[in-house]
Amino acid sequence: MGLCLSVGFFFSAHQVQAQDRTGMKTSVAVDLVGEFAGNPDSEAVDQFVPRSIDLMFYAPIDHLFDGTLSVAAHQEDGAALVELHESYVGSDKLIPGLKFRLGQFFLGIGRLNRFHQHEWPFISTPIVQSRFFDDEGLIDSGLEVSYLLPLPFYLDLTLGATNGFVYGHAHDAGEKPKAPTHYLHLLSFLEFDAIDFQPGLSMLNRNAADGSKMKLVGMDLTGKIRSGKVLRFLWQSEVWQRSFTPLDGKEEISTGAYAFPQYGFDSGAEFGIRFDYLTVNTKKDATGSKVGNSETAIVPTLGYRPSEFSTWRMAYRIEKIESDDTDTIDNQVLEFQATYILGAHPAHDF
Amino acid sequence: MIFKTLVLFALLNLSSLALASIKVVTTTTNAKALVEEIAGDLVSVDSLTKGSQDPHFVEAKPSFMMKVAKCDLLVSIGLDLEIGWLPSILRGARNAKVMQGQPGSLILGEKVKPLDIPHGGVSRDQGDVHPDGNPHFMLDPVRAGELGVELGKRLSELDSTNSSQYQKRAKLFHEKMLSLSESLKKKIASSGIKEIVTHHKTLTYFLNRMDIQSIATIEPKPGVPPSASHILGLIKLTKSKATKLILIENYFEMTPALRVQKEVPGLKVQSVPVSVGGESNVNSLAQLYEAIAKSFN
Repeated sequence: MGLCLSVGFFFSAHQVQAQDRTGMKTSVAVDLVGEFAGNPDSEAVDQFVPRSIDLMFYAPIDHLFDGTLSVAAHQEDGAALVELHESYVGSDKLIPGLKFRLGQFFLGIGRLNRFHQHEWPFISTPIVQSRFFDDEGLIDSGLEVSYLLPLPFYLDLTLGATNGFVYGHAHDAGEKPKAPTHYLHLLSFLEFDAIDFQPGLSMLNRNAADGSKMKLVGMDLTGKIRSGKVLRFLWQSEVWQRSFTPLDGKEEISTGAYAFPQYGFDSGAEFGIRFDYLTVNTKKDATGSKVGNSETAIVPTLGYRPSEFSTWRMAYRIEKIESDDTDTIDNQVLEFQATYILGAHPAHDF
Repeated sequence: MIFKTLVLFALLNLSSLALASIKVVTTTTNAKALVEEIAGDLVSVDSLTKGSQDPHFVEAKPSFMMKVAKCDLLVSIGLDLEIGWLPSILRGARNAKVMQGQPGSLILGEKVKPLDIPHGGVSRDQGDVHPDGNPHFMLDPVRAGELGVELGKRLSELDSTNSSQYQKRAKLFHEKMLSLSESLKKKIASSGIKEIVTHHKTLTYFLNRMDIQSIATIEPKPGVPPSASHILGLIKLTKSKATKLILIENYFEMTPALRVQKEVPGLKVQSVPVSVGGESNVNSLAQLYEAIAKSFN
């Protein structure tokens, strides 16, 4: 697992803000993660390392535009890498109901992809996220526009187009694709007395330089019950289906999902269990018969959050890779995590 | 036929424009109650939070973004009370006219002289300290009266047609609050209580106005839950000072205060509303101040 440091810009403030007179805010988010073998066949690295360190800057540029820059430090193959994560200019002041960003950013689709990894409610990356988007999520350069539709209920439409030279985490320039990566995200909100839900629908298309075509369709659902400082209950889930067709090849369809219910206690402790599932729907053997296969994981996670600026977690990941044509792989990993934020912290989105 | 339909449609739209009033959104019910005092039925007003909620910790719901996206005036408390959630609401609402610095944004905290401004360096090890001062000034009847005047001015700028009404109502409210403050002060003085303990520093402005001293808080630091040693310290302190009253803001747990009460003879623990709507019979700022004052007797 790579070391990823994502910096989020945050303003918050019953705390001292890292801010100067130009409105510049800075923050550093550190994500320390340990993985240790839970069974003899485990793939765990038996190491405790800083997974990522994100340094983020945010400021109004002038009366119309805001600018964001985030730089992340990772450890990959034993070497420390510092790379640009996000660098974009945007505005929410030009047209009522509309905001946009232009530059390099995490694509605004799904749920996890819209948040930096240190803000996720669990330690490891869900299988479906890892397979379809890469561990850290999709970063690319382009234009993304979001519009709050003028309706009596909440409906936010995001449309984006990015270069598409690369997909996921890459350290090279990639190749010019047949068409830019383009995507859509539709978000709504359902409010009840006891609980609120935010459902979302995402679609993404990519026609790569090698002629392969990929289509992703997904749904995300987040539910919350908050009681003052305590997030009493959290439900977070995503379901994705991917269609991948190589040039001169057959279409491969995969479906994956994760669901994470979590309960929060008054003391700041929280307990959740993540369920992961992924299957290649179109997997066939040499005779053309369908081959049953699945990757699953159950990840009970115990956390402690003394404030919004630090999180301590411990989890046990039980993964299984099963297929009719191969032996089952059993991978069990004991996970630890400590995250902390120095400097300004942003207001939280739902 | 088409012409008639178009004329009818235009007339309907014009009539709806004539009926349109300023849409005000407030972050708290106390600010909403202030708007109701100054504007009455001249504006429509909605609060993002409920009176039973701790305004420090609120979920940034997209439904709030909808409300802020459509409003003409956003009245917030400021002094970092809403810092954990309002910026997210504003980003999602994408309504340039209510962003900070615009006529459609009224931050009440910028119009008051705050208490509890920390001296020297401030850092997170002091808990959820508000570097610019205590944001619970709406619990001071006198400051609320003064803020009513400020609100009247802003509403007059946005809706000059009804300017005289806003100014008149603001003046009356200010006078009413001055008078109420004096009568509550006398009422509380008659209880003989001079010192109390609260959970958080929510009641600082009210107590300051009523000449009551807050000798300690159940929280060892703002936003930090009490430890066993802090509770023991409170027992010792309240015993030594013969403290008679602990007031708990009604969205906090009573348990730690009840632990103290168990060890201190004659100590009363009382839950109080600190926001309009925090109790079913508290529907205005005056009723709120009276409810808090009543807890002393």
